[in-house]
Amino acid sequence: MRHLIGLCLTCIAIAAVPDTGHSQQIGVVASVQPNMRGTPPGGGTSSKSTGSAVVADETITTSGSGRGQIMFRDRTTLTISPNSEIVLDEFIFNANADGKSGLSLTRGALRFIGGKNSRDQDATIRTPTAIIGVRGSSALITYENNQTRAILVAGDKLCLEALENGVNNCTNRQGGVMTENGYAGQVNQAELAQLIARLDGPPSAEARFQSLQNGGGGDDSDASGVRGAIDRGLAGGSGIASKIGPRSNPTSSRGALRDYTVFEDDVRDDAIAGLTSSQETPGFIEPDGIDDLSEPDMIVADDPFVELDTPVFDDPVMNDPIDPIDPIDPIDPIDPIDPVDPVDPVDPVDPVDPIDPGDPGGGGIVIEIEPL
Amino acid sequence: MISFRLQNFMPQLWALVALVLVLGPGAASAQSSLEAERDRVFEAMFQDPTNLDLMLEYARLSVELRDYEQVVSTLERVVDQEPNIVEARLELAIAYYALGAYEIAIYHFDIVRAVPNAPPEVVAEITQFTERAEDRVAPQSIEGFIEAGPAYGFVDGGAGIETGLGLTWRVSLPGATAHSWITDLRAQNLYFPDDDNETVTYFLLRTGPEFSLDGETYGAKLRPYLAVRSSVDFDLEDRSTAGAGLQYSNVFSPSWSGFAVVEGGALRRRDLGEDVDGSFVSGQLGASYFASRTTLLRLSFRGRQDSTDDDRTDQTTWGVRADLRHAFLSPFGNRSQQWLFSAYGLVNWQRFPSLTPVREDRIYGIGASLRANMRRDFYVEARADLLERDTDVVGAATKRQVVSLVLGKEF
Repeated sequence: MRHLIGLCLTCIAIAAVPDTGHSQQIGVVASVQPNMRGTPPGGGTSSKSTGSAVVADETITTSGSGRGQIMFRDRTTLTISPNSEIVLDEFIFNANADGKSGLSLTRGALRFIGGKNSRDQDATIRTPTAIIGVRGSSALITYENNQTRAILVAGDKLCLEALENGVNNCTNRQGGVMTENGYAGQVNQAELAQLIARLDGPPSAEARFQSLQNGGGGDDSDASGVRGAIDRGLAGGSGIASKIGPRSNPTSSRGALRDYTVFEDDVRDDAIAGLTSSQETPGFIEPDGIDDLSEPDMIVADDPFVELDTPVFDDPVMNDPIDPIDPIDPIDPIDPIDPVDPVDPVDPVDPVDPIDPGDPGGGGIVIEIEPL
Repeated sequence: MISFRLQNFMPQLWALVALVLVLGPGAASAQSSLEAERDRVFEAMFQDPTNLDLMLEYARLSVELRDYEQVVSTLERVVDQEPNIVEARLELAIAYYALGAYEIAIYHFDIVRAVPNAPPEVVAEITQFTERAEDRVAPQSIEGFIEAGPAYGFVDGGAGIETGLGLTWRVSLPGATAHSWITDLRAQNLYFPDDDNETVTYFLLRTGPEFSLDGETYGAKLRPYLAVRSSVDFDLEDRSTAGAGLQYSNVFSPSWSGFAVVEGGALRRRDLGEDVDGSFVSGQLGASYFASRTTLLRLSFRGRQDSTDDDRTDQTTWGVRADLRHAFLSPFGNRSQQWLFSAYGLVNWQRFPSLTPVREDRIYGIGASLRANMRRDFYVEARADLLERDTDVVGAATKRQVVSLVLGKEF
């Protein structure tokens, strides 16, 4: 008896699957509003309902009020507007090898959101007047009045080849519009709103924040703002509000991010630390403990003649007799401002320099600080 | 006064470098596990395409994997199935925003904002999204910041003030390929009224086009530029440059990107009141690794050579620097506000070939900052920078330890 029941269930399951002409199932109808029809190769036309299989080379049509979404095995999602016809003539999914996403739009409008197949190679959408290549991308495409318009929604790039003259043009501008005549500028908000409303239907007038309707019922979140509203109204949602804020930079369809701060880091570091930007003068890096050197009453930089107070000579660092490059070491033989350097021809306080204005014989100790 | 030997922290610095190199494979393993889980959920969803729980689970896993295109496609189906749950459309708007599809994000944000029972704080946050989205699609935009706050130099300086200004003017060049002309202005000042030696002002003006080399949004970019830089510190050791440079950056994979910079030009140093002219050439080569959307690790190698006409201040610097940035949600108040923690460590080797004997220094630095973003684009940022010069020259070692707390506003 159990075998008989099992056989019957199998028969019912087989009967429930539409005739696909034995073609490869490449997708499934994810939503229909209110109707959509499909014609598999070699098969008859039938209504599509949510959950219906979609096979390779199948033709999908919508009426003036019908629209729907198809989810493909490679995770591409296609949204079809009313009054449209598409043929899934080059859609191949192979889990173990490169697949291919290709279809024809013979009339109407569609939204293409790429899946695995279009990450590393172009998805191809043909219209009677153009071939559109979409790489790592999502796009909105219309073919009406014998003209193709393709809008790059997101991703790496979108190219359109006009069949009439074979000219191929590409854009990588998000929101960029391509036609047979080339780049047509950025999409305007009104055109975009009209197109999305055709694909998705008008927004529901009954839409409300569920978190505020009858006390909500979703996640018991203590977050506020957008994230809190989503948590409570959509049982936590996808969590995207926790990751993305107004300051977030865009991410590619492969999840790639550009490091926008890479050329900015040196600015503050150079500002805060002359040490790291090599701006200390060699030979005149302030030794620890003699910071008072630059006190205005000790050395006045703008004045070439300054009096050197005797306390400096009491400084143990300054008087270090063995420091070879101590800037004012009194006995350093190569010190450029050594006051007693016997071989320095311009030493201002050289005791034997006849033109030295600070010659000790003139009274007091005056040292000219020669710029290094 | 705090006594601090940065050289003692070199193991930590190298650990940060190692972290950059080691975290990669670890994160890849976690990603593989998430991928397998998502494959399983997709198969279930393929069999039951209207199951809301499966859709949200698939979207959640896709968010973790930074696959926002799959988040968008799934949420489009959720909105189609549950048009009255406006929170789903709000998520869809954010997902489009994450992909850089700003016009469509604005479309959905506007619908959500018009819902009769939209909470005011949600409307305010949506307005932030839409304003920034409008800026990003505008033919030209100016972004920037202004900041100021108290600073303190521990070794030298004492109490002071840090101020900063940044402006970035971006003009989109016409045509199908997204090229732009970018002009940056940066000015930063650390002012210590009781210690002029520590006061420093840094200025940068840089302008040039940014070209998309391969015509792909996330592909290679090349930016030739002209730059004027000036560093003025009141201990008479100023450095100004005017030169030309070339920046290259490319995104190699979802996690890795690379960059390189070369710059060269004329140099003027003012040492103890006297100007010395010369030339400079500098370069930088590095890689950035996004361990997650919110965690960035970066390693760069840099070099610079200054040659002056009198040869006295010639110097060559080689360096390595590691950076860590991590963004996270505010633990207080509005949890949608992101905070940002940054840290860096660097080692520079500096050589003065004209001195006899040739002088060779090592410069060690570590720094960290914590930025708390607040409402209306205001932020508070606490910073600490510790730098130390180690040299063979007796008594010439220096330290600089500065902390600051600035209040800023982005625009």
